Amino acid sequence: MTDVSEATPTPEPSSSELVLAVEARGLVKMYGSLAAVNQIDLAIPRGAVFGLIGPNGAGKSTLMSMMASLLLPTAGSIRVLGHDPILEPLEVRARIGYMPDGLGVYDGMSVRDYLEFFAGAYGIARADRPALVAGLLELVELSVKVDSEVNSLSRGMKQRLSLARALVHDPELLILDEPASGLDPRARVELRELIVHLRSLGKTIIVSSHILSELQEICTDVGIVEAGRLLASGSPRQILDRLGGARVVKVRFADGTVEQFSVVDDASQSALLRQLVTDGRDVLEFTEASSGLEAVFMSVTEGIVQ
Amino acid sequence: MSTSVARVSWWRSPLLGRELRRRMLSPRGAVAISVWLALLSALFVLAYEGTSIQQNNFGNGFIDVASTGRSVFEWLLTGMLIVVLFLVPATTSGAIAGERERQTLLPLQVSMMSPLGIVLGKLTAAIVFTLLLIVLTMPLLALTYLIGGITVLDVAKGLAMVLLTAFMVGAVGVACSAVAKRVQVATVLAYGFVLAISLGTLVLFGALAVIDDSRGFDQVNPPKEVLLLNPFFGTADVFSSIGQFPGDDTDTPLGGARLAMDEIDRVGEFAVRPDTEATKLWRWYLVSSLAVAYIAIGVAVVRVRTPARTER
Repeated sequence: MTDVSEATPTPEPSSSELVLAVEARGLVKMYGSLAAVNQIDLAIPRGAVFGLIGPNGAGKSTLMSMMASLLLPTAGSIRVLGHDPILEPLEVRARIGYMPDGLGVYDGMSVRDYLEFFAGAYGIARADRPALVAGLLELVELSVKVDSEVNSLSRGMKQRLSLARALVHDPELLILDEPASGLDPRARVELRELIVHLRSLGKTIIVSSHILSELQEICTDVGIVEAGRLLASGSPRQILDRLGGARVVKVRFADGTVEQFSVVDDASQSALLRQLVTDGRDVLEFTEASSGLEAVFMSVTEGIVQ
Repeated sequence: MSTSVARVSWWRSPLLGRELRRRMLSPRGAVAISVWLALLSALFVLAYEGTSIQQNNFGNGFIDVASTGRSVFEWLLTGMLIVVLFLVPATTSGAIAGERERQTLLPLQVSMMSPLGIVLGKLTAAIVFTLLLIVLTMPLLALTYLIGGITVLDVAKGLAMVLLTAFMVGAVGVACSAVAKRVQVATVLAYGFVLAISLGTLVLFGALAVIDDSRGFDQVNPPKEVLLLNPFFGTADVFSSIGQFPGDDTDTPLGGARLAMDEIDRVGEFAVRPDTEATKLWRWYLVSSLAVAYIAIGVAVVRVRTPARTER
């Protein structure tokens, strides 16, 4: 529950606002003549893990900054959890947790002091802070580091601490800008598991990355951004189907042979399996050969960098 | 987890508490306090000895305790002003730019703290630290009071001017820090401002006097308004001159500043005003420094406020 003191009364949310965490229409952000974000229409459902994919400089961070009420759009509109980040920034900030690209740590501060400091920045009562900090550190598995100096933590630990900071006020929506940047493989896996766990707690999560394998397993929906434009949005499967792109299915048979088949959608894929069984072939393994997200990304993007 | 979130007012800002702890408890804070006390103690001894010797050599053999006490007090005020002008820009110019460099500004901006809370949290911590330094000077000021020549009101007026100067310079330092992206640039800008108001105004005043002198045979009368923001002239003007004759005052920088202003006033107003009456410059200093501080805080708030047109 989030309660903002002195909040401005806002109209009742529309039905789409009850369903959508973020809704953007014709969103534009210009830096001089450069369109960092160019006419983006976006709808992110509540409860989703939404992956914002695109190369460096595609406009992902700019888009996230506008969602986080940090940046004014040049044109278009955006609603975050039913609120306008431009007109009602405090309403939005009370409901979102934003984790920017940089770690942002203070020198000579312990992990406990760091989280208590940001709990204070959200007006959380002093008496509630110790229990809150203990709960957050348990969630991000940093309880043993509670008295360590923030600067002494590894990068992976700092990222998890940064995530704990974003969660300090129990937000409904998490906006994570390149959270796995610079992490070793183990730390990436741990972060991924944490995101999955946060989703199970009912949070909507928007996560950006230019590394597709990071998002592959955790995202329910993706948005592919290139040169400031949203090229595609939806579940990877929906996007592939919409594009009419062929899937490659790899089949391993009992006699040791491996064959690849081309299908166009779910229906043709299941039909293929039925056909193989009907033909009396002993199928041991039936998997998509190409990575879903990679296939989507390569189909959609053109390799443009601004 | 269920969390109640509330807007954070600037006096309850965790930033203020953190900044105060950092300044007061850090080794750097201890060094600043030690340097402050050492400098002012040395100045006290030198001023007392210097004034006494001078009066013994050139006076009638008696030490004029009132004049000595006043001189020592003015030397202490001058020293405090100089240290404040050096110290406050150093402590405020990293206020916002430092947060930006550490990448902690964005998490603060997206929290429930207002831009004014962020700016005032930083500024208040710097002012409170200056206040602590002033409080630590109390034993020296008490000794000066015991020598004589000054009243409690004089002490209060002098310290108020030091605090006012710290407030103005601190506000400008925070504004420079909000405008510049890097701490180094902010520090250069803040010290540039200090140089401009202390030495720059004096040089300009002198230059205008030279120009005025070259224009004819009338008395030199440069516009006193250029000294509006000069902390030394503003502080000097709070006190009236102690000499009984024109050209007679304490042998301190503040006394010198007063003599210069008296000379101008006497020329400008055909010697209508008695020498002992203070000019009105300190009032203008009060108003203009508060105005500068107000504008500086406004600039800093605008620079920290989000949503912004550009990423900061």
